[in-house]
Amino acid sequence: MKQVFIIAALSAAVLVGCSKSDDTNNPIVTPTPVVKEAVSGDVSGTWTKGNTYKITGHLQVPASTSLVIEEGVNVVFSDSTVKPELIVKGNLYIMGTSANPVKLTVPDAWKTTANQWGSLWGGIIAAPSCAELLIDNAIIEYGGAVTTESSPSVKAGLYKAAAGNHVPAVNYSNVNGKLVIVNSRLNNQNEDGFYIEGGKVIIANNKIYTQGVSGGDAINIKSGVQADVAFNMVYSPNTNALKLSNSGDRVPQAYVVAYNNTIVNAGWRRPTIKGGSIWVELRVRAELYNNLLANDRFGVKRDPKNAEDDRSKVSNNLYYGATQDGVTGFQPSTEILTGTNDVISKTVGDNDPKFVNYPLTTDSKNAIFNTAWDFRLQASSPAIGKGTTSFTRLYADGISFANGTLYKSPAPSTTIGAFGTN
Amino acid sequence: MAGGLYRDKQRTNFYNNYTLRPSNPFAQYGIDFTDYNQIAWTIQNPLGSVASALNYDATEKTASGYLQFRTVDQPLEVTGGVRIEHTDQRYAMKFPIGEDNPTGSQIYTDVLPSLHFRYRPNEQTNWRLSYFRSLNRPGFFEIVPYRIVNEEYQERGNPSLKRAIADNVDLRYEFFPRPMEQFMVGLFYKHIQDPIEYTLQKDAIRGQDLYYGPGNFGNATNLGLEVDAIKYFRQWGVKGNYTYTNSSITTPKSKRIRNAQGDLETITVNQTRALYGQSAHVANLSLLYKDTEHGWDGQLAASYTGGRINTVSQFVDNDLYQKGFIQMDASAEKRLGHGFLLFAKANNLLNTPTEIFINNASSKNSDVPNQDLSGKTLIRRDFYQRSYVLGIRYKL
Repeated sequence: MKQVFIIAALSAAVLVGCSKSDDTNNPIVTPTPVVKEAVSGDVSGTWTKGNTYKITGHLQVPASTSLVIEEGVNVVFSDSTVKPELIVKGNLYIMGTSANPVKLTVPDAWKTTANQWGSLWGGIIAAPSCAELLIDNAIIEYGGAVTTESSPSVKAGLYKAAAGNHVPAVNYSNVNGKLVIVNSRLNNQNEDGFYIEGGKVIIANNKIYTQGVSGGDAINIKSGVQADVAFNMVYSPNTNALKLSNSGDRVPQAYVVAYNNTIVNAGWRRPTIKGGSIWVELRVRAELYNNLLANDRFGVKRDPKNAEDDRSKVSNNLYYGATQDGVTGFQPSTEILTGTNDVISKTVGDNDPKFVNYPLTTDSKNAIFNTAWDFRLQASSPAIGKGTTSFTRLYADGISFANGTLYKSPAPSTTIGAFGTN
Repeated sequence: MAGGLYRDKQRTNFYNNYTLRPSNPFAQYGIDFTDYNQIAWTIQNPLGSVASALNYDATEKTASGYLQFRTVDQPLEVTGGVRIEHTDQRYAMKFPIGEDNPTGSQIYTDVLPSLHFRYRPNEQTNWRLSYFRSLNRPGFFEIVPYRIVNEEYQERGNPSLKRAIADNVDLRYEFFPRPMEQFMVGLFYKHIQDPIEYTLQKDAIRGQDLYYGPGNFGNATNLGLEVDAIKYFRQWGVKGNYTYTNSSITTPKSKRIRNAQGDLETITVNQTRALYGQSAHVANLSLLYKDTEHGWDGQLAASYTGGRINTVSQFVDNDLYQKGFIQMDASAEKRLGHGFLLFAKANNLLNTPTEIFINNASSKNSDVPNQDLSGKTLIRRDFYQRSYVLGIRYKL
């Protein structure tokens, strides 16, 4: 009896809230957080602050519409058979805050070790018709399901347009569009993280870990993309933290300025030898500065037969290896790029970056991220002052969105890595 | 004269596909397993994937009729007529997956006129002039929007593939000096509208996905000369023919350039080339032996097929060519009487390889083994070896 009463009171409050905002066009009452059950199909409009949306079927933001997800919204993908995908043919604005991030997640009971590699829902798959995709302060986790014939991405001819592929967390493919992913976290992802095939792109201040069970790159960039990738922390990606390629012959040529990223334990969990840390190939124009590569399987790996663009630049990166394999992996060769002003040595254990709290002897195949770790640098770190600021990032002036927001690429730091000092 | 034909072909195709991953991606041979059946697998898609475009029903119904007239005046004989062909080709995906064309049909009727003149100034000589229109319809499977992952490329069908229509004009001189002997020379001209060619193309969204499939890329003209002769010296004969074809079609191709900003860009340019599969030179030469009295019949045949395009590349001047080749075969028969016939055949005596190459080379492939064609890039080389057949035939 008591329960019934509460529900009735709640719906009354919501009704009152609605009518007030309709009357005045100016909501005064802060709406009570509500749980929307069984959400599926076409979605657009605004998902209001603090609400929870339980997703039980595939979602689509139809072309020419927008979905805004406000801070603190919990999007809970709650059907592990359907494994819903979020198809974006219009625009999507995920606008969390550092205090109240937007979560794209699964029910807590599913976050078990057995589900370490996610695959419990699909991903955000944006069609070439998606003009703007903004992800600010989001937590994206436990996704990367395999496509079937009934997957809307397959039906719509998106991503690889075939059944049997694990989708990335975010796929963006509009060469004339805008994509910003900042201040967000991606974890427990089955395969690729961000798979980007077009657009003006900023990927900054994100944290990616526990990604890729037997393959997959954290940030995978193809032709058609012009991106700043900065101040990201990538921990133990299955293969590369950054895979940079101009494959696909889309215009413009892939151009990536990647700076001040911290990449730890990359590439070791790949059963076959491919990459580790950063990969450049097929005439991608890459500029790599101030990146901190610690205990990765390889340095900046390239494909000598399908090399990077001649205008590529690599400088002021720090390499550290706690094992002989790790140190051998970043020594310059025909397959490992040589940089200028790099902090690099042939000796195991040299150039310890002096993280505030991270045991550098952690097993190189470890994929579990301990949130107590602190990848800021101690004052004695050799990474301090060895970076450069004398390069041009693509979006110092920012990328603006139709909703009035403007996102600028962060200014580079001479402290190598993503977190500065403590 | 008049006639008709109705034909109904049907096909049902079923395909299922499971994706498997080893449960332990780091399992090593000799340590974690010693036999392949000890590898544990995780099925990624337990429901299978029957909804691929490889599950379909397809039908092709053709109905045709013709009317023909023939004059029997000598020395000029005229044959002409018209053939009408109605084609109804359809397919339906059993589990449509939202592709643009889950069902499709191509229904069309073609009027195919023909007119032949034969002028016989004497018993041994013919002059022929003919015009006819002909039709090449897409294969059953070619219009199904299927995708098959092959070793090198995905292969795809093309629901919008059009039939090819050819207008043919032939002029021939034929001379028959004796029974079994002939000399013939001819000129031909073909204009082919929408010829079907197999090319490598890139996916519209994911340009990094190349696929191989049929398409129509323009109109082609083939112009050529043909000579054919058979001559006997007692039991020995020589038979030869030669065809020269000048084939040309202009189609758009991709080209990678640096634009004014110094960035890589892929632009489209036109390339004129021979039609896919069309050799400029084709020749056959056979040595014949025929001894009717003693029941012997034999021949040694060599055929030359000149270089031709095997696959049309999506890049300009980068087509895959098949090298010109000579194939030699021999056969012999001996009548034994009482209905028995002894026969022997030997095929591919020279063990001629099929060689596919690109007509340019890149220094990047210099360390690749078996790249032994100077200035070219070898794509594949297949040897089929010789084959021999020996047998006895009995005729009731």
